[in-house]
Amino acid sequence: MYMDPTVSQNDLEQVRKNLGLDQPLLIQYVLWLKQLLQGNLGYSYVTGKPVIQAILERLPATLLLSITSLIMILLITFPLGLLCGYKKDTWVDDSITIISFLGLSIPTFWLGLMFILFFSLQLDWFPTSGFLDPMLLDASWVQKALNILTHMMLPLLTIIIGGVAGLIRYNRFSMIKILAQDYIASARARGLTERRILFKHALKNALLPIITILGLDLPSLISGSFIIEYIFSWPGMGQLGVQAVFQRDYPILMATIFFSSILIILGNLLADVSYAYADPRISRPSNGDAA
Amino acid sequence: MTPKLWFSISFLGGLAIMAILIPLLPWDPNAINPQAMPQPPSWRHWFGTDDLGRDIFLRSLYGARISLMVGFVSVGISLLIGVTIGLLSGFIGGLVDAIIMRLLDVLMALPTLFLILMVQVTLEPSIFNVMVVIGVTSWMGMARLVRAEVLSIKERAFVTACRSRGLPEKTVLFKHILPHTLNPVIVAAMLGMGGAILVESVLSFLGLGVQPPHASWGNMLENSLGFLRDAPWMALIPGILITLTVLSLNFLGDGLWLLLDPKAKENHVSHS
Repeated sequence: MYMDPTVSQNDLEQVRKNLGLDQPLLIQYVLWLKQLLQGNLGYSYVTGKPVIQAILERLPATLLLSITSLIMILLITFPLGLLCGYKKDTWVDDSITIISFLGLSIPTFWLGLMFILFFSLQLDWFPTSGFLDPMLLDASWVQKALNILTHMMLPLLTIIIGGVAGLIRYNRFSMIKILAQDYIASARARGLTERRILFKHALKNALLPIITILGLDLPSLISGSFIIEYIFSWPGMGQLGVQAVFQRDYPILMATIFFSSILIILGNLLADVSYAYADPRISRPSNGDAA
Repeated sequence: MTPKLWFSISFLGGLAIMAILIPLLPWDPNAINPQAMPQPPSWRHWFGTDDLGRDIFLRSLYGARISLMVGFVSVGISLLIGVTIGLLSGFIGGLVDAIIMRLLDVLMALPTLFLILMVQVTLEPSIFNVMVVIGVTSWMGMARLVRAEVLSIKERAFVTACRSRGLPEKTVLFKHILPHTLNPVIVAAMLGMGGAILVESVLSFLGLGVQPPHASWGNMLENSLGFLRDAPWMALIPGILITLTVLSLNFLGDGLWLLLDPKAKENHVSHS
């Protein structure tokens, strides 16, 4: 921590003691765990406010951004991935594949900077950063919502581009595998229309692996969106965490890691549950010969 | 050989050769030139100059040294840990395997980037720490991959044949099973290098990686923040270089997968 040189040695020792920093690292961790079990995440070194309060203040903005981006990512990747799989090895597939490789390789924080450079500084379409204009605190909720939406556009776009790329590849892969299955061939032989085969027979089966992959991708999606929050000064948990890194505010940092791990585990749980819901074989293992 | 592979090999090869040879030339990447403060790309300065008049082309090549080194070393570390744990977990099986897999589940649920940030803040930020930290936090996927391979390989007839010849377990594992897991490992290593280069750029961008005045693509981007409006090339060039490098590594991983795995060609599908 940075400190004032006029602080006396005694006071410094006292502060160390109060914060528990005089204990060995392992003891500090055990104490942190003990407090956690009692529902106490500690107090910020910088502001002195309870950590839980700081986190809860930031949670809505993070959830707003991450849930919206997750839904958008699903809505975009699903049709595109299926299209790629269906039109395998045509120019449509090739161009979407190359674009998705590009999306995988672009550093998202740099993409965010480029969006600020182009859409905010050059075209002046969207604000560079922030959440809600302080001028609008007393405005009607419609105005507020619109203002938040314009602030959200660029971070959202950045996260979506970063997240869409990997999923399209998986979607394409699972679609190709499904279209090679016997029951699709038999559906074709029965003279069903292509549209009916795609939407009635292939779609639901293609959905299954995507749910799992989405669950596995959550950690990188969440870590990625934290950097984006920082770039766009989006007042979420990510920005809080990155600030805490710079201020050496360990209680906040520990809590940020703790809460994002919980988000990730919840996401995985949700993926598992919806997987069982989409695939009836999973909940009845006794008669499932094809697992 | 596809156009994608040609592109990747020539780009990475060219970059690596230039990055290795550049210190032999007498130009100093940290030389400040007050007469050339930010200048757009020109014949004299191919990529322009930055706020201190330093040549961006030269700094980019020194940055490439950092990025490529981070890619190699941290993937080397993650290979060493991941392959060892994956081999042992898959080969021993049983309770050991179960415990290792549950531990991996826990590790994989952590937001790695924050973990890395936290370690970098606690230790002092240096290029050595960056490589070790990235390596130590990125081996989990590799371990899973190798374990899955070992599980299927150890059921094959040639392994039984080795055992019936009375070879010691160690020889069976390292001389006979290990080589069969290498193809997917090479592919994963290519993708992992791309990932490591991205993480290094984030760290240096946040000021927690390579420290100025030494150039890395990430800290060149950090430096560009104050000049986005006046000198956009300062932000554009390092980003494009990172993208092209990681893109080449991804193409290479994908292309090698098609070349090495006969089953991949049969389906003519590629993984991500």
